[in-house]
Amino acid sequence: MVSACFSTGITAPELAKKGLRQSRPALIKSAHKGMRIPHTLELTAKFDYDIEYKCNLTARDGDDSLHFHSESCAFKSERQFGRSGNGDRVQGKPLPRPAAKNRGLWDQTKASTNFPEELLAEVDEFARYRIYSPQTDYLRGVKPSSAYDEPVGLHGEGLPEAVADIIGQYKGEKSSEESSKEATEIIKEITSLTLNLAFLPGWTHAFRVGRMDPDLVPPELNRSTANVLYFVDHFMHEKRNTLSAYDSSEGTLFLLFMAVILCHKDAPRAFAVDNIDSALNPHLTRTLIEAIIRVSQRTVDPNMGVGAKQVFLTSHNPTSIDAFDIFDDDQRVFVVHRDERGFTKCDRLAPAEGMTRDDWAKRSGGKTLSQMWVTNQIPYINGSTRINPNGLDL
Amino acid sequence: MRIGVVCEGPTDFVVMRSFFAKDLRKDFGPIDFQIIQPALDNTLPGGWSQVLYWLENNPPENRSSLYLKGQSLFLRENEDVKFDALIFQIDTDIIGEEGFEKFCRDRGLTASKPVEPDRRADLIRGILVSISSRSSIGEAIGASEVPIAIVEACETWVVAAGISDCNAEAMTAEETRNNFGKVFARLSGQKERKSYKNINKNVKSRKRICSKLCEEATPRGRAAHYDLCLEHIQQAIRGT
Repeated sequence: MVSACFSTGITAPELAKKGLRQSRPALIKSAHKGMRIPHTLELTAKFDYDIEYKCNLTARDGDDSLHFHSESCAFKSERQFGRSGNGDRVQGKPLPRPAAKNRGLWDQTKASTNFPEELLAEVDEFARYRIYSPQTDYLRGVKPSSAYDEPVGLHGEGLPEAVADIIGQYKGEKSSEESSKEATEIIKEITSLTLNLAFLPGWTHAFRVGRMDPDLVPPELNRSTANVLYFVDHFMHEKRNTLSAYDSSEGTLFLLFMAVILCHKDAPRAFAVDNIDSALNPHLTRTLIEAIIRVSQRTVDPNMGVGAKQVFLTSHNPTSIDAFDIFDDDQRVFVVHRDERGFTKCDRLAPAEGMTRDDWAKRSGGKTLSQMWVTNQIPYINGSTRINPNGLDL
Repeated sequence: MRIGVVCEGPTDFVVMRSFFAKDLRKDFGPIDFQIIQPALDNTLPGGWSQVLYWLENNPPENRSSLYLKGQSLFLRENEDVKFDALIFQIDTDIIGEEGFEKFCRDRGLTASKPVEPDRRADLIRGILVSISSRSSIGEAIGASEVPIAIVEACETWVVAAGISDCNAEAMTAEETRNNFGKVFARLSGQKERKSYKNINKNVKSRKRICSKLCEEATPRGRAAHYDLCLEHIQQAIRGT
């Protein structure tokens, strides 16, 4: 939502482009028993370079869209822009005319304002944030693609073209002349790492993007798609070992999709993936997340021009948390649950204060985090506060 | 107040929860008993072996960190679901079972076959103490853990609660079965028979019977080892 406030607006279609579910605006606000329903929805965010942002959005019953009630952004404690009942101001000056109420001030004023470079870079990067939720029919090309932001749609629209791009990226076809040899090599390494994700399921050792082949692609496949992904199945007879995306495994397509959003030069640098475990077995789920962590550890370097810097994931698969080192402050696991009042809580899963790895080994009894999850030994992770772990009616 | 239970099976849990909750209520208020084991899946068998394997797989530091209040593994803990004490239960009727003897032999423990109830209870309690990596019953209780040996099976406690003038812990298995059947029949409004072939192990029936018995009596003062278990739980909760 904060990203939408920096981007092209907070109307339902704009939020949908971000991957946000389009609930009725009034339903977004907290409405708990015995509590007054608030007039506004308040959002606050802090970024690197001492950037702070806050806004209040109004959403009354019957409203079709959220509207800005107030908004403010400060860079190194200096107010850059803001709006309230007293008017709209950018760098201390009132705007010549009132700003649109369903679009953030950032997007309405940045072209005509001399904002500090660090603020511009950071906010613009976050404005591209989106939530991906890949779906098999889009990955296979069965569902027709509607318009989507490059390089790939939120559900996997345009996957063949995006894969073709990163194959080119791997080959160095699109590296700019200014790129140093070292930077090109790092990009190649990261691209290779992510492209190799497609081989993890173990049945294919090669893939390509090509024109539609009526001998390999069934009529069900969306005919408007110009390009199709083809895989070579190394278990099959050489005359019959090429499969289109339509016939290949869902997990492989999902992994290629992940490769695209992790390393494509046009992919947002911060994004979320809903249900990272979908279509993958527990082992692959863990391996994929480990790859995401490895990539983001490399690409967080400000000099790196491509690659995911910050990735938010949701999962309901216990092995997903085995991929994380919860002693590492750069890798964070949050347990989302509802407390006894029904408030949504987001608790960080971290070792107790002062605990060493040796203490952890002893106290955990050598159990992995996934083992603790399934035996209900991680606070709040299975939702209810009082769970009978064996589910028996006793 | 919450007590976590690692026990042989659901009927043992129901019997312990019913009687202990009633007898501890006066001193400690309502106690929420929660079963920890048997838990894992629908494939593993219940019984004594799973209690002992659970203790082996959950060493003391792990048990205290994950299950007991005031101990932390994570930065943010949910104290509401943690326990004030843990109890580990096994029946003494497993003494002499080949699998049990092998389990003990493999771990260098004595698997004698005493006959007297006191010695049988001591044997099982000692094995629970040893497998739970404690040096003595005192150390276990000091760590809020109570090894419980039921002489001979949890039906003994049902008989003790249901028949006031009997020595339930000294009964043979056949006598326990017949007397359990009689208590069950009386509380279910059925006609009593002279003998019974099987013990009703239905969990719902066991809940109903124990609930009715608690309105009359518990094994307290009628079964020496029940009284000892109760005393140990009180000590574990009080930390003495």
